Amino acid sequence: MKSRFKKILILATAALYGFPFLYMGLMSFARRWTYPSVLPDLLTIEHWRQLVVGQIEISYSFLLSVVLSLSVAATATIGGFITSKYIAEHRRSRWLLLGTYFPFILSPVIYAAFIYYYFVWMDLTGHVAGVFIGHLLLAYPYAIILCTGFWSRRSRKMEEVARTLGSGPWTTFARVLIPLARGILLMTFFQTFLISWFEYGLTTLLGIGKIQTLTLLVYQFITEANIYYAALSSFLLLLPPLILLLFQRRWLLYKVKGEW
Amino acid sequence: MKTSDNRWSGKFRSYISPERLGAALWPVLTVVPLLAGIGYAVLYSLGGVGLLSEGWTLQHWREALTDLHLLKSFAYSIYVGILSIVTSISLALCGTLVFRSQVGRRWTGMLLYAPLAIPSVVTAFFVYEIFAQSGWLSRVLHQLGLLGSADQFPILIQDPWAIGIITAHVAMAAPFFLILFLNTYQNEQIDELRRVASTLGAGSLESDWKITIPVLFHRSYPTIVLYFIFAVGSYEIPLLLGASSPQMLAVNVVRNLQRFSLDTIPHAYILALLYVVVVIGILWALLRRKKLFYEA
Repeated sequence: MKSRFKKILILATAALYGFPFLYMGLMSFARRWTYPSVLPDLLTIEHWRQLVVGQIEISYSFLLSVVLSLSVAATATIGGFITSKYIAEHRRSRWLLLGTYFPFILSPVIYAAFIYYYFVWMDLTGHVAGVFIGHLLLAYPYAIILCTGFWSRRSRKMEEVARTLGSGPWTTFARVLIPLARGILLMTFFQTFLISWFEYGLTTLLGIGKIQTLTLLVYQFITEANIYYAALSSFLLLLPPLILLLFQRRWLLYKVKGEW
Repeated sequence: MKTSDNRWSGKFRSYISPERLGAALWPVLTVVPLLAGIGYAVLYSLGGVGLLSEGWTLQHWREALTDLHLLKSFAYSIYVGILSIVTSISLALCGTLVFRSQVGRRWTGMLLYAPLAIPSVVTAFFVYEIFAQSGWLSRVLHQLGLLGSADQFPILIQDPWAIGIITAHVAMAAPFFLILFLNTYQNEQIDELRRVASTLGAGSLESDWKITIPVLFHRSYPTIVLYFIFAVGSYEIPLLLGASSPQMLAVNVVRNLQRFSLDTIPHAYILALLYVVVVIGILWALLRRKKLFYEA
């Protein structure tokens, strides 16, 4: 009886967890879905066709989001890895790490409100470069936090061996430490990609509505009551994390933390 | 030419070591922008800077700290944060007790991680679609004959009690805490501890109450507190699902910052500064207990 109840509970959880994906997928194919129908009245592939041939702004926003998030992830991972070594080996590493935590924990939109004036002053608002820097300010501290765990006695020993063989600091970094940290670097890359990919508040404020990433487009479609396109954009937003889920689900665990 | 280039790049490479580059990058991309931003907000709130500045004054602070709307917004955010976290943790704890025997199975892993793939903006949209008066739940109840029309369905979205916002937060946080608790359950070998407890005569319920739950809480405490900060400062969820009054903190800050009238900007900064004070207080408390870096 107890195990049957457990099975029912597990099945109910599975249904509950799978429902948002099904719902968004179905809605992206809907043409008409009036009250009180539980399923769409009419289905169409038109929205998806328009997306593929680039007839709607979603295609542009999708490409912009992909390029932006990949650039942020690459820069944050490299910068974060280099900085994490400095922090891990610093005698006041605890305080430096606290300073790193702070911008990462703060609400991104409130952080954006604080730095907004400087972005206006430097004429960075409403530009992709400004949004890129804004995303980097969120992703870089997180990359440091993730990479700090890599530096240990083992990594130090490897570094020392390389140095005794005549390797310079950059060569040691490129040929010894980076290959050694491949796993953590890949995880950091995907995590910081997701931070940028999911970012909404900071992008709204610093992009002043001109930089339409996919998250902003979802909200715009909702406010325009264009729910089918909102569902299509939402479904596209789910794609990269879904791919991660299939191939390396453990890397997703940090996603929620990444939104702090 | 090539030789001099190599010499130059050699000198450059030896001067700018990875450690030096890291040391230069860290302040530029973390503390400097943040401190400069907070500094500007403090100056603006004291009338020291800004287009409408008429000199140093405490007037804006006096106004803000007696403005019921602003204080309500702050209290409302704390209320949403606490209720979201308490509900999420309760659900996650129940889930942990159900799923603990299923950990390690491939399908369970896939299933449990699935909600983490959903961003906040999509969660907000989904909750809106399901719980709105003409939403999917209302349609199902209508088809079952339990509802005559859409307006008979209770208002759960953009309601003053923030039911929609809390539902969205719980939908995001409960699966996250479930995974966290299940991982902690395995890492702390709680099954072993429970077996020891049972040899000493403790029942299943007693060992869950006295061992499982305290150990899970003790190990996950920093993450719970940090998630609370995240919930209090969330933006996109209350933007879509929140009522126009009271507003959550982040929404209020942005609206005050973007209003046509520039008079509300100091209030926006004061609200943001109050939030920062709370975050600093929480970080300080965690650091004093040496807990902050535990889960990093």
